[in-house]
Amino acid sequence: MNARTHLAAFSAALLSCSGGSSMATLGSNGPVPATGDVQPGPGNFSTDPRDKAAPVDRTLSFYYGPMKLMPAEVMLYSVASFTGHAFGTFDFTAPDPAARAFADAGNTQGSMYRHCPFFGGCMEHRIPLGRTSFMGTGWVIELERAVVEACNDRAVFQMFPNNRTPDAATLAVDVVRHQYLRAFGEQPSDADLQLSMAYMQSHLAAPELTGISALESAGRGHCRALLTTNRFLFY
Amino acid sequence: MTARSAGILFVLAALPARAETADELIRKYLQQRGTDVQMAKHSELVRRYAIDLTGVIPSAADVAALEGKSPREMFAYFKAKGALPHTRGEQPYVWVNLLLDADHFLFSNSTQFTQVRYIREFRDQLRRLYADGYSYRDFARWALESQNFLSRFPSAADRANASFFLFLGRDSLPNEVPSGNMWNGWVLRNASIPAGQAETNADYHVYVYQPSVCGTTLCTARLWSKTGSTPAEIIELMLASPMFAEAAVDRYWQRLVGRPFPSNDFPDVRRELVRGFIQSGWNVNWLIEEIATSAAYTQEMMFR
Repeated sequence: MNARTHLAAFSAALLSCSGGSSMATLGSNGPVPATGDVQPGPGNFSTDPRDKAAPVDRTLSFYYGPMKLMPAEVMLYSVASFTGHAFGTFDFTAPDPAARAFADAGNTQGSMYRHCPFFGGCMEHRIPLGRTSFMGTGWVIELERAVVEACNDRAVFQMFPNNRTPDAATLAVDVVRHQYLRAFGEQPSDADLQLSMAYMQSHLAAPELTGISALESAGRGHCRALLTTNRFLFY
Repeated sequence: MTARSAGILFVLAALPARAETADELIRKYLQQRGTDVQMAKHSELVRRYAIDLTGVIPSAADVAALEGKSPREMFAYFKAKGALPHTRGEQPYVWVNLLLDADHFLFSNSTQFTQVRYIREFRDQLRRLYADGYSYRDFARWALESQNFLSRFPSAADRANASFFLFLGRDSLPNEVPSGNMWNGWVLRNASIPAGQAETNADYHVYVYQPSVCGTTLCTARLWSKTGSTPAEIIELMLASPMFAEAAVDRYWQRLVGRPFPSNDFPDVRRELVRGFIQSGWNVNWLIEEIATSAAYTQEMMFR
């Protein structure tokens, strides 16, 4: 299994878990709309030379190279950069008056955090009492919620072309290309585009969200799909 | 062979061989193992630099602007980037390093909330480290002498334990620190577990009480008689240790490459990094750039 099929399988499995029956068909070879420059032929899934490179086993090399998951804070700011969603302000490097008040107040028995307030935290615990997260170990529930909200928030449109709600003149392929450009800084390869268009088509046929257009619903779902790929989370 | 050319050869042979850089050593060791370095794709590498040096994914404009640039040029581009919205006026390179150091030195607002002044002092020192190239050695001396540190670890044994963890990158060994420490006779059941596994190995956190240490009643901490009992002596001991610079190299390697330093496989690389780090005046910016432009960092990654 090469890297791109791995990504496809990962995305398909992930989306089939979270999106209902219409998403489960993502990996299947359904009909593809003839929009943009996507021209798949029989037995020719991709026309991109990057997808035709011979798979090389680089396990040994990879052992010495980077494999990093985005830290929680970086993930939030990157999601914000992609979608335009405002998560509010927080700073782990700055003193927090509210947290200090909480520690000082405590209860009738005094604060349980009083004994480890200084430089070095609670060395005997390594994970200090009261700490809610370390770099790279944000709460999964919170991050999940953030990603979902960032894509479904009606107030943000950076994920769509021209920073506005897609209208009748907007093409699905343009939404996909725009989102790839914002999320990864480059256009999708043919294989990526093929996969994404299949996803968009299945969602256009059966919109997940109600009260908005089918294209907007599909675009928000595709936004969420990109944000949960290995390609986005690992760097 | 003429006398002249023989003389030139003699001179060349007498000159010391040029020391290989960390990057050259990494490539050499990988090739010795039968593999070659495959450079990451352009957009992937730009993304890596952007996230590590500014704390956010790059824009399409960044990717386009760096087309055809070398890793060092990409590094310089993102290191010099001006304030971004999420950094609130701070230079992103400084901001992201402050964020990561907050994790190492545990001065987050969740744990240090009663000592706001100390957090600010500490953060200002770290800011100097990244913005001004302040000596890491001087920074460590300041940190260990700070009132914050002395207040938190009132006995010499406590200070030794914390110093080992924060600046030498490992736990102290039983023969290095007296047993009557801040835990009053409670010791780790399995002290052979490295501190780096503290968060993943549940057994690391299991403490047992050793009656032979303190008897049946709580004992008071004893001073560290072997190496001195004053803060100054401990600090000088720490800074004189060869592990001091090595631990810094290991920490930044883990931060940038994403996994522990492969000491057995890259035997000379750490030594080369330590040498350069000290020669640069303990400048962490030099160390970060050297690791981030090496083959280990710039090669493609597992999931792509």
